[in-house]
Amino acid sequence: MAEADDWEIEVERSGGFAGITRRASASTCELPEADATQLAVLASAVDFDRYVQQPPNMGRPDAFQYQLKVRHGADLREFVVGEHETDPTLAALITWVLGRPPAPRPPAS
Amino acid sequence: MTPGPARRSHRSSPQCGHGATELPIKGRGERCSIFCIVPPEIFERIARNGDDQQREWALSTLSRDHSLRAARLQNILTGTDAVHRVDALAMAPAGVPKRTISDVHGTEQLPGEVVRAEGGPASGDEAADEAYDGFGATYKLYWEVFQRNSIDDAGMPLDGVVHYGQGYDNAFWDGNRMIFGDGDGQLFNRFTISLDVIGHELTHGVTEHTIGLNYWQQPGALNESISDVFGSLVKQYQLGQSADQADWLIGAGLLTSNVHGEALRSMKSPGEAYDDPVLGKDPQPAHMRDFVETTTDNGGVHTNSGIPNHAFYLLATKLGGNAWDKAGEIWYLTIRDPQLKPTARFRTFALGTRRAARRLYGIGSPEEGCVVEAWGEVGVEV
Repeated sequence: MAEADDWEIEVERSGGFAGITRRASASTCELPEADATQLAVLASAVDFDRYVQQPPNMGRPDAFQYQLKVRHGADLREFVVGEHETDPTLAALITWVLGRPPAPRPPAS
Repeated sequence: MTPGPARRSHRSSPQCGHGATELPIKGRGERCSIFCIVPPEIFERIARNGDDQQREWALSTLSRDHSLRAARLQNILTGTDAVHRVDALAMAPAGVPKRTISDVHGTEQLPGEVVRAEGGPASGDEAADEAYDGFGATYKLYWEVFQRNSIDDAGMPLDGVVHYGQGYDNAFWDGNRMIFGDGDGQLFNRFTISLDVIGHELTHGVTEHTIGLNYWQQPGALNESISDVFGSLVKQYQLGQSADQADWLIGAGLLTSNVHGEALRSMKSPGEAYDDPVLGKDPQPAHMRDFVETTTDNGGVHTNSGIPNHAFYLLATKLGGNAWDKAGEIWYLTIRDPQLKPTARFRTFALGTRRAARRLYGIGSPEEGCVVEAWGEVGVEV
Protein backbone atom coordinates (compact mmCIF):
# COMPACT_ATOMS: atom_id res chain seq x y z
CA MET A 1 0.00 0.00 0.00
CA ALA A 2 1.26 3.50 -0.80
CA GLU A 3 2.38 5.42 2.28
CA ALA A 4 -0.22 8.08 1.57
CA ASP A 5 -2.91 5.48 2.16
CA ASP A 6 -1.24 3.74 5.12
CA TRP A 7 -3.11 4.81 8.26
CA GLU A 8 -3.66 3.34 11.68
CA ILE A 9 -5.95 5.18 14.10
CA GLU A 10 -6.52 4.33 17.76
CA VAL A 11 -9.25 6.17 19.62
CA GLU A 12 -9.92 6.08 23.36
CA ARG A 13 -13.11 7.86 24.43
CA SER A 14 -13.50 8.62 28.13
CA GLY A 15 -15.65 10.93 30.21
CA GLY A 16 -19.20 11.76 29.26
CA PHE A 17 -21.88 11.64 31.92
CA ALA A 18 -21.40 7.91 32.30
CA GLY A 19 -17.63 8.18 32.68
CA ILE A 20 -17.16 4.94 30.74
CA THR A 21 -14.09 4.39 28.57
CA ARG A 22 -14.36 2.91 25.08
CA ARG A 23 -11.48 1.97 22.83
CA ALA A 24 -11.40 1.22 19.14
CA SER A 25 -8.85 1.11 16.38
CA ALA A 26 -8.75 0.79 12.61
CA SER A 27 -5.91 0.13 10.24
CA THR A 28 -5.88 0.35 6.46
CA CYS A 29 -3.67 -2.74 6.46
CA GLU A 30 -6.37 -4.83 8.06
CA LEU A 31 -9.58 -3.50 6.53
CA PRO A 32 -11.34 -4.61 3.35
CA GLU A 33 -10.34 -2.38 0.43
CA ALA A 34 -13.47 -0.22 0.41
CA ASP A 35 -13.25 0.42 4.15
CA ALA A 36 -9.51 1.07 3.95
CA THR A 37 -10.11 3.65 1.24
CA GLN A 38 -12.79 5.32 3.34
CA LEU A 39 -10.51 5.45 6.39
CA ALA A 40 -7.70 6.96 4.34
CA VAL A 41 -10.02 9.62 2.93
CA LEU A 42 -11.31 10.55 6.40
CA ALA A 43 -7.86 10.63 7.98
CA SER A 44 -6.32 12.63 5.14
CA ALA A 45 -8.87 15.39 5.66
CA VAL A 46 -7.80 16.08 9.27
CA ASP A 47 -5.18 18.67 10.20
CA PHE A 48 -3.57 16.65 12.98
CA ASP A 49 -0.82 19.23 13.52
CA ARG A 50 -3.44 21.61 14.83
CA TYR A 51 -4.37 19.20 17.61
CA VAL A 52 -0.86 18.12 18.44
CA GLN A 53 0.28 21.73 18.79
CA GLN A 54 -2.65 23.19 20.71
CA PRO A 55 -2.13 23.52 24.47
CA PRO A 56 -4.17 21.15 26.61
CA ASN A 57 -7.40 22.59 27.97
CA MET A 58 -9.33 21.53 30.99
CA GLY A 59 -12.38 19.55 30.03
CA ARG A 60 -15.96 20.72 29.80
CA PRO A 61 -18.28 19.00 32.29
CA ASP A 62 -19.50 15.63 31.03
CA ALA A 63 -18.18 16.16 27.52
CA PHE A 64 -16.34 13.23 26.02
CA GLN A 65 -12.55 13.27 26.03
CA TYR A 66 -10.73 11.63 23.12
CA GLN A 67 -7.16 10.37 23.15
CA LEU A 68 -5.89 9.56 19.67
CA LYS A 69 -2.84 7.77 18.34
CA VAL A 70 -2.42 8.39 14.65
CA ARG A 71 0.13 6.50 12.60
CA HIS A 72 0.56 7.66 9.02
CA GLY A 73 3.27 5.61 7.38
CA ALA A 74 6.26 6.01 9.69
CA ASP A 75 4.90 9.15 11.35
CA LEU A 76 3.23 8.75 14.77
CA ARG A 77 1.26 11.45 16.58
CA GLU A 78 -0.65 11.42 19.86
CA PHE A 79 -2.96 14.01 21.35
CA VAL A 80 -5.92 14.52 23.65
CA VAL A 81 -8.92 16.59 22.60
CA GLY A 82 -12.30 17.40 24.11
CA GLU A 83 -15.48 16.62 22.27
CA HIS A 84 -16.27 20.32 22.04
CA GLU A 85 -12.87 21.06 20.50
CA THR A 86 -13.13 18.76 17.50
CA ASP A 87 -13.69 20.16 14.03
CA PRO A 88 -16.06 18.30 11.65
CA THR A 89 -13.23 16.38 9.94
CA LEU A 90 -11.86 14.96 13.20
CA ALA A 91 -15.37 14.31 14.51
CA ALA A 92 -16.15 12.31 11.38
CA LEU A 93 -12.98 10.23 11.73
CA ILE A 94 -13.62 9.52 15.40
CA THR A 95 -17.23 8.57 14.71
CA TRP A 96 -16.15 6.19 11.94
CA VAL A 97 -13.53 4.50 14.07
CA LEU A 98 -15.82 4.17 17.07
CA GLY A 99 -18.48 2.72 14.80
CA ARG A 100 -21.33 5.08 15.41
CA PRO A 101 -23.56 5.98 12.46
CA PRO A 102 -22.95 9.55 11.31
CA ALA A 103 -25.49 12.30 12.00
CA PRO A 104 -27.65 13.08 8.95
CA ARG A 105 -27.23 16.38 7.20
CA PRO A 106 -29.55 19.08 8.60
CA PRO A 107 -32.56 19.77 6.37
CA ALA A 108 -31.91 22.47 3.76
CA SER A 109 -33.49 25.78 4.77
CA MET B 1 -44.35 28.05 40.55
CA THR B 2 -45.45 28.37 44.15
CA PRO B 3 -43.74 26.54 46.93
CA GLY B 4 -44.89 22.93 47.01
CA PRO B 5 -46.06 20.94 50.02
CA ALA B 6 -43.52 20.94 52.75
CA ARG B 7 -41.52 17.80 53.01
CA ARG B 8 -40.32 18.23 56.52
CA SER B 9 -39.52 15.24 58.63
CA HIS B 10 -38.89 15.41 62.31
CA ARG B 11 -35.33 16.62 62.64
CA SER B 12 -33.31 13.92 64.31
CA SER B 13 -30.57 14.51 66.84
CA PRO B 14 -27.33 13.19 65.36
CA GLN B 15 -25.15 11.22 67.73
CA CYS B 16 -21.80 11.93 66.09
CA GLY B 17 -18.94 13.34 68.13
CA HIS B 18 -19.15 15.04 71.51
CA GLY B 19 -22.21 16.91 72.66
CA ALA B 20 -20.88 20.28 73.79
CA THR B 21 -22.27 23.00 71.55
CA GLU B 22 -21.45 26.65 71.26
CA LEU B 23 -23.76 29.13 69.60
CA PRO B 24 -23.28 29.55 65.83
CA ILE B 25 -20.47 32.04 65.27
CA LYS B 26 -22.61 34.85 63.83
CA GLY B 27 -25.17 34.65 66.62
CA ARG B 28 -22.89 34.26 69.59
CA GLY B 29 -23.67 36.82 72.31
CA GLU B 30 -26.12 38.71 70.07
CA ARG B 31 -29.73 39.46 70.98
CA CYS B 32 -32.31 41.10 68.72
CA SER B 33 -34.24 43.84 70.55
CA ILE B 34 -37.94 44.34 69.97
CA PHE B 35 -37.09 47.39 67.85
CA CYS B 36 -34.87 45.58 65.31
CA ILE B 37 -35.93 44.62 61.80
CA VAL B 38 -36.33 40.85 61.39
CA PRO B 39 -32.87 39.67 60.36
CA PRO B 40 -32.70 37.67 57.14
CA GLU B 41 -31.41 34.54 58.82
CA ILE B 42 -34.78 34.35 60.59
CA PHE B 43 -36.52 34.15 57.19
CA GLU B 44 -34.01 31.52 56.14
CA ARG B 45 -34.72 29.36 59.19
CA ILE B 46 -38.49 29.80 58.80
CA ALA B 47 -38.22 28.79 55.16
CA ARG B 48 -36.40 25.65 56.25
CA ASN B 49 -38.23 24.68 59.44
CA GLY B 50 -41.71 26.26 59.36
CA ASP B 51 -45.09 24.76 58.49
CA ASP B 52 -46.59 25.24 55.01
CA GLN B 53 -48.06 28.66 55.73
CA GLN B 54 -44.94 29.95 57.43
CA ARG B 55 -42.70 28.71 54.62
CA GLU B 56 -44.88 30.35 51.97
CA TRP B 57 -44.79 33.64 53.86
CA ALA B 58 -41.02 33.53 54.35
CA LEU B 59 -40.35 32.66 50.71
CA SER B 60 -42.78 35.35 49.54
CA THR B 61 -41.03 37.91 51.71
CA LEU B 62 -37.65 36.83 50.43
CA SER B 63 -38.99 37.03 46.87
CA ARG B 64 -40.33 40.58 47.23
CA ASP B 65 -37.19 41.83 48.84
CA HIS B 66 -34.92 39.25 47.31
CA SER B 67 -32.30 41.57 45.97
CA LEU B 68 -31.17 42.94 49.28
CA ARG B 69 -32.19 40.22 51.69
CA ALA B 70 -30.87 37.31 49.69
CA ALA B 71 -27.59 39.04 49.10
CA ARG B 72 -27.40 39.99 52.75
CA LEU B 73 -28.20 36.42 53.79
CA GLN B 74 -25.48 35.17 51.52
CA ASN B 75 -23.09 37.70 53.02
CA ILE B 76 -23.90 36.59 56.55
CA LEU B 77 -23.56 32.92 55.76
CA THR B 78 -20.36 33.30 53.78
CA GLY B 79 -18.74 36.05 55.78
CA THR B 80 -18.33 38.49 52.92
CA ASP B 81 -19.45 42.04 52.47
CA ALA B 82 -19.88 41.81 48.72
CA VAL B 83 -23.39 42.29 47.39
CA HIS B 84 -23.81 40.55 44.09
CA ARG B 85 -26.09 40.97 41.18
CA VAL B 86 -28.61 43.29 42.86
CA ASP B 87 -29.74 44.76 39.56
CA ALA B 88 -30.20 41.38 37.94
CA LEU B 89 -32.11 40.07 40.91
CA ALA B 90 -34.38 43.10 40.90
CA MET B 91 -35.27 42.34 37.29
CA ALA B 92 -35.76 38.56 37.59
CA PRO B 93 -38.96 37.37 39.25
CA ALA B 94 -37.78 34.88 41.80
CA GLY B 95 -39.60 31.61 42.39
CA VAL B 96 -40.57 30.99 38.78
CA PRO B 97 -38.38 29.12 36.29
CA LYS B 98 -38.08 30.14 32.65
CA ARG B 99 -37.84 26.90 30.68
CA THR B 100 -37.43 26.47 26.95
CA ILE B 101 -36.99 23.07 25.33
CA SER B 102 -35.80 22.79 21.72
CA ASP B 103 -35.51 19.83 19.36
CA VAL B 104 -32.60 19.44 16.95
CA HIS B 105 -34.14 16.33 15.32
CA GLY B 106 -31.11 14.08 15.43
CA THR B 107 -28.64 16.68 14.21
CA GLU B 108 -26.01 18.56 16.19
CA GLN B 109 -27.10 21.94 14.85
CA LEU B 110 -28.10 24.35 17.60
CA PRO B 111 -30.32 26.06 18.64
CA GLY B 112 -33.07 23.84 17.23
CA GLU B 113 -36.86 24.22 17.07
CA VAL B 114 -38.67 25.31 20.24
CA VAL B 115 -41.12 22.59 21.17
CA ARG B 116 -42.07 23.68 24.67
CA ALA B 117 -41.85 27.04 26.40
CA GLU B 118 -42.51 28.01 30.01
CA GLY B 119 -46.11 27.44 30.97
CA GLY B 120 -46.91 25.76 27.67
CA PRO B 121 -48.80 22.46 27.35
CA ALA B 122 -47.04 19.11 27.17
CA SER B 123 -45.52 18.58 23.75
CA GLY B 124 -46.27 14.87 23.57
CA ASP B 125 -42.59 14.17 22.98
CA GLU B 126 -41.31 12.12 25.91
CA ALA B 127 -37.80 13.56 25.89
CA ALA B 128 -38.98 17.17 25.65
CA ASP B 129 -41.55 16.79 28.40
CA GLU B 130 -39.14 14.92 30.68
CA ALA B 131 -36.56 17.68 30.20
CA TYR B 132 -39.17 20.34 30.96
CA ASP B 133 -40.33 18.57 34.10
CA GLY B 134 -36.77 17.81 35.21
CA PHE B 135 -35.79 21.46 34.86
CA GLY B 136 -38.79 22.38 36.97
CA ALA B 137 -37.90 19.87 39.69
CA THR B 138 -34.32 21.12 39.77
CA TYR B 139 -35.41 24.73 40.00
CA LYS B 140 -37.83 23.77 42.75
CA LEU B 141 -35.17 22.16 44.94
CA TYR B 142 -32.82 25.12 44.61
CA TRP B 143 -35.57 27.69 45.22
CA GLU B 144 -37.62 26.04 47.96
CA VAL B 145 -34.74 24.57 49.94
CA PHE B 146 -31.82 26.89 49.26
CA GLN B 147 -33.61 30.07 48.14
CA ARG B 148 -31.52 30.04 44.99
CA ASN B 149 -33.18 31.61 41.95
CA SER B 150 -32.02 29.31 39.15
CA ILE B 151 -28.48 28.35 38.24
CA ASP B 152 -26.93 31.79 38.68
CA ASP B 153 -29.26 32.89 41.51
CA ALA B 154 -30.48 35.61 39.17
CA GLY B 155 -33.23 33.84 37.29
CA MET B 156 -31.08 32.35 34.52
CA PRO B 157 -33.33 30.79 31.86
CA LEU B 158 -33.21 27.00 31.74
CA ASP B 159 -32.72 25.98 28.12
CA GLY B 160 -32.59 22.38 26.99
CA VAL B 161 -32.00 20.67 23.67
CA VAL B 162 -33.32 17.16 23.02
CA HIS B 163 -32.74 14.52 20.32
CA TYR B 164 -29.15 15.69 19.89
CA GLY B 165 -27.10 13.62 17.45
CA GLN B 166 -27.62 10.04 16.39
CA GLY B 167 -27.50 7.39 19.09
CA TYR B 168 -25.69 9.90 21.26
CA ASP B 169 -24.88 8.29 24.61
CA ASN B 170 -24.54 11.47 26.61
CA ALA B 171 -25.95 14.62 28.16
CA PHE B 172 -23.97 17.69 29.09
CA TRP B 173 -24.15 21.32 30.16
CA ASP B 174 -22.44 23.55 27.60
CA GLY B 175 -22.34 26.66 29.76
CA ASN B 176 -25.61 28.01 28.44
CA ARG B 177 -27.96 25.08 27.92
CA MET B 178 -28.35 21.42 28.59
CA ILE B 179 -27.92 18.98 25.72
CA PHE B 180 -29.58 15.54 25.77
CA GLY B 181 -28.84 12.55 23.59
CA ASP B 182 -31.27 9.75 22.88
CA GLY B 183 -28.88 6.96 23.83
CA ASP B 184 -28.03 4.09 21.53
CA GLY B 185 -30.98 1.95 22.60
CA GLN B 186 -28.65 -0.99 23.19
CA LEU B 187 -26.85 0.04 26.32
CA PHE B 188 -28.35 3.45 27.11
CA ASN B 189 -31.87 4.83 27.09
CA ARG B 190 -32.63 8.49 26.38
CA PHE B 191 -30.79 10.76 28.81
CA THR B 192 -33.90 12.70 29.85
CA ILE B 193 -35.21 9.57 31.55
CA SER B 194 -33.39 10.12 34.87
CA LEU B 195 -34.25 13.10 37.07
CA ASP B 196 -30.89 12.95 38.83
CA VAL B 197 -29.12 13.22 35.46
CA ILE B 198 -30.93 16.47 34.78
CA GLY B 199 -30.22 17.77 38.27
CA HIS B 200 -26.59 16.72 37.87
CA GLU B 201 -26.09 18.64 34.64
CA LEU B 202 -27.80 21.83 35.78
CA THR B 203 -25.73 21.70 38.97
CA HIS B 204 -22.59 22.01 36.83
CA GLY B 205 -23.97 25.45 36.05
CA VAL B 206 -24.46 26.16 39.75
CA THR B 207 -20.85 25.11 40.40
CA GLU B 208 -19.67 27.44 37.63
CA HIS B 209 -21.43 30.32 39.37
CA THR B 210 -20.20 29.45 42.85
CA ILE B 211 -17.01 27.58 43.69
CA GLY B 212 -16.03 27.22 40.01
CA LEU B 213 -14.04 24.03 40.45
CA ASN B 214 -11.60 23.20 37.67
CA TYR B 215 -12.63 20.13 35.68
CA TRP B 216 -9.43 18.20 36.27
CA GLN B 217 -8.20 15.65 38.81
CA GLN B 218 -9.36 16.23 42.41
CA PRO B 219 -11.10 19.58 41.82
CA GLY B 220 -12.85 17.95 38.85
CA ALA B 221 -13.89 14.95 40.91
CA LEU B 222 -15.36 17.37 43.47
CA ASN B 223 -17.12 19.16 40.63
CA GLU B 224 -18.60 15.84 39.51
CA SER B 225 -19.51 14.87 43.06
CA ILE B 226 -21.32 18.13 43.74
CA SER B 227 -23.42 17.45 40.67
CA ASP B 228 -24.19 13.91 41.82
CA VAL B 229 -25.04 15.17 45.32
CA PHE B 230 -27.50 17.83 44.22
CA GLY B 231 -28.77 15.67 41.36
CA SER B 232 -29.66 13.01 43.90
CA LEU B 233 -31.25 15.65 46.15
CA VAL B 234 -33.43 16.80 43.26
CA LYS B 235 -34.76 13.26 42.94
CA GLN B 236 -35.13 12.73 46.67
CA TYR B 237 -36.96 16.03 47.12
CA GLN B 238 -39.30 15.33 44.23
CA LEU B 239 -40.11 11.88 45.59
CA GLY B 240 -40.30 13.04 49.22
CA GLN B 241 -37.70 10.47 50.29
CA SER B 242 -35.68 10.61 53.47
CA ALA B 243 -31.98 9.76 53.44
CA ASP B 244 -32.82 6.24 54.61
CA GLN B 245 -35.46 5.77 51.89
CA ALA B 246 -33.37 7.09 48.99
CA ASP B 247 -31.60 4.67 46.66
CA TRP B 248 -28.56 6.96 46.30
CA LEU B 249 -28.15 5.80 42.71
CA ILE B 250 -27.12 8.05 39.83
CA GLY B 251 -28.54 7.25 36.41
CA ALA B 252 -30.86 4.44 37.44
CA GLY B 253 -33.18 3.92 34.48
CA LEU B 254 -30.53 5.14 32.07
CA LEU B 255 -29.16 1.65 31.45
CA THR B 256 -31.22 -0.68 29.27
CA SER B 257 -32.23 -4.17 30.35
CA ASN B 258 -29.30 -5.44 28.26
CA VAL B 259 -26.90 -4.14 30.89
CA HIS B 260 -26.12 -5.97 34.10
CA GLY B 261 -26.33 -3.14 36.57
CA GLU B 262 -28.58 -0.92 38.67
CA ALA B 263 -27.25 2.47 37.64
CA LEU B 264 -24.10 4.32 36.55
CA ARG B 265 -22.99 5.24 40.07
CA SER B 266 -23.90 4.47 43.65
CA MET B 267 -23.20 7.02 46.35
CA LYS B 268 -24.07 4.40 48.96
CA SER B 269 -21.82 1.69 47.49
CA PRO B 270 -19.27 3.13 45.05
CA GLY B 271 -17.94 0.40 42.78
CA GLU B 272 -21.08 -1.73 42.91
CA ALA B 273 -23.45 0.08 40.52
CA TYR B 274 -22.77 -2.18 37.53
CA ASP B 275 -20.68 -5.14 36.39
CA ASP B 276 -21.30 -5.87 32.74
CA PRO B 277 -19.40 -7.77 30.03
CA VAL B 278 -19.66 -4.80 27.65
CA LEU B 279 -19.59 -1.76 29.96
CA GLY B 280 -17.12 -3.28 32.36
CA LYS B 281 -17.22 -2.88 36.14
CA ASP B 282 -18.07 0.25 38.07
CA PRO B 283 -14.58 1.68 38.80
CA GLN B 284 -15.50 4.08 41.59
CA PRO B 285 -13.53 3.95 44.85
CA ALA B 286 -15.17 4.60 48.21
CA HIS B 287 -11.95 5.46 50.05
CA MET B 288 -8.80 7.45 49.43
CA ARG B 289 -6.68 4.30 49.63
CA ASP B 290 -8.25 3.30 46.29
CA PHE B 291 -7.91 6.71 44.62
CA VAL B 292 -7.32 6.18 40.88
CA GLU B 293 -4.40 8.00 39.26
CA THR B 294 -5.17 8.35 35.56
CA THR B 295 -5.07 10.79 32.68
CA THR B 296 -8.29 9.57 31.09
CA ASP B 297 -11.56 11.33 31.84
CA ASN B 298 -9.77 14.56 32.78
CA GLY B 299 -7.88 12.77 35.52
CA GLY B 300 -10.63 10.37 36.56
CA VAL B 301 -13.26 12.93 37.55
CA HIS B 302 -16.17 10.47 37.17
CA THR B 303 -14.21 7.77 38.98
CA ASN B 304 -12.79 9.49 42.05
CA SER B 305 -16.03 11.40 42.62
CA GLY B 306 -17.05 8.20 44.40
CA ILE B 307 -15.07 9.30 47.45
CA PRO B 308 -16.77 12.66 48.16
CA ASN B 309 -20.07 11.10 47.03
CA HIS B 310 -19.75 8.47 49.71
CA ALA B 311 -18.80 11.11 52.29
CA PHE B 312 -22.04 12.96 51.57
CA TYR B 313 -24.08 9.76 51.76
CA LEU B 314 -22.47 8.92 55.12
CA LEU B 315 -23.13 12.42 56.46
CA ALA B 316 -26.76 12.43 55.31
CA THR B 317 -27.50 9.03 56.85
CA LYS B 318 -25.66 9.86 60.08
CA LEU B 319 -27.68 13.07 60.43
CA GLY B 320 -30.94 11.32 59.58
CA GLY B 321 -34.13 12.87 58.25
CA ASN B 322 -34.11 14.41 54.78
CA ALA B 323 -30.71 14.68 53.13
CA TRP B 324 -31.45 18.15 51.75
CA ASP B 325 -32.12 19.59 55.22
CA LYS B 326 -28.82 19.47 57.07
CA ALA B 327 -26.33 17.67 54.83
CA GLY B 328 -27.58 19.60 51.80
CA GLU B 329 -27.39 22.91 53.66
CA ILE B 330 -23.81 22.17 54.74
CA TRP B 331 -22.79 21.31 51.18
CA TYR B 332 -24.63 24.31 49.71
CA LEU B 333 -22.95 26.71 52.13
CA THR B 334 -19.60 25.12 51.32
CA ILE B 335 -19.81 25.69 47.58
CA ARG B 336 -20.43 29.36 48.29
CA ASP B 337 -17.47 29.67 50.69
CA PRO B 338 -15.18 32.42 49.34
CA GLN B 339 -12.19 30.70 50.95
CA LEU B 340 -12.53 27.80 48.50
CA LYS B 341 -10.87 28.22 45.14
CA PRO B 342 -11.35 26.44 41.80
CA THR B 343 -8.23 24.41 42.59
CA ALA B 344 -9.65 22.97 45.83
CA ARG B 345 -8.73 19.35 46.51
CA PHE B 346 -10.69 16.85 48.62
CA ARG B 347 -9.24 17.81 52.02
CA THR B 348 -9.62 21.54 51.42
CA PHE B 349 -13.24 21.03 50.47
CA ALA B 350 -13.80 18.75 53.44
CA LEU B 351 -12.39 21.43 55.74
CA GLY B 352 -14.87 23.78 54.10
CA THR B 353 -17.76 21.47 54.98
CA ARG B 354 -16.58 21.36 58.60
CA ARG B 355 -16.42 25.15 58.61
CA ALA B 356 -19.94 25.28 57.16
CA ALA B 357 -21.26 22.90 59.80
CA ARG B 358 -19.78 25.11 62.49
CA ARG B 359 -21.39 28.21 61.02
CA LEU B 360 -24.77 26.56 60.76
CA TYR B 361 -24.86 24.45 63.90
CA GLY B 362 -22.08 25.62 66.19
CA ILE B 363 -18.55 24.66 67.10
CA GLY B 364 -18.50 21.20 68.65
CA SER B 365 -22.04 20.46 67.49
CA PRO B 366 -23.12 16.90 66.72
CA GLU B 367 -23.50 18.00 63.11
CA GLU B 368 -19.87 19.06 62.97
CA GLY B 369 -18.92 15.75 64.54
CA CYS B 370 -20.82 13.87 61.85
CA VAL B 371 -18.98 15.81 59.15
CA VAL B 372 -15.62 14.84 60.67
CA GLU B 373 -16.69 11.19 60.96
CA ALA B 374 -18.07 11.00 57.41
CA TRP B 375 -14.89 12.31 55.83
CA GLY B 376 -12.75 10.16 58.11
CA GLU B 377 -14.57 7.05 56.90
CA VAL B 378 -13.53 7.79 53.32
CA GLY B 379 -9.95 8.49 54.33
CA VAL B 380 -9.98 12.29 54.41
CA GLU B 381 -8.96 13.56 57.83
CA VAL B 382 -10.31 16.93 58.86
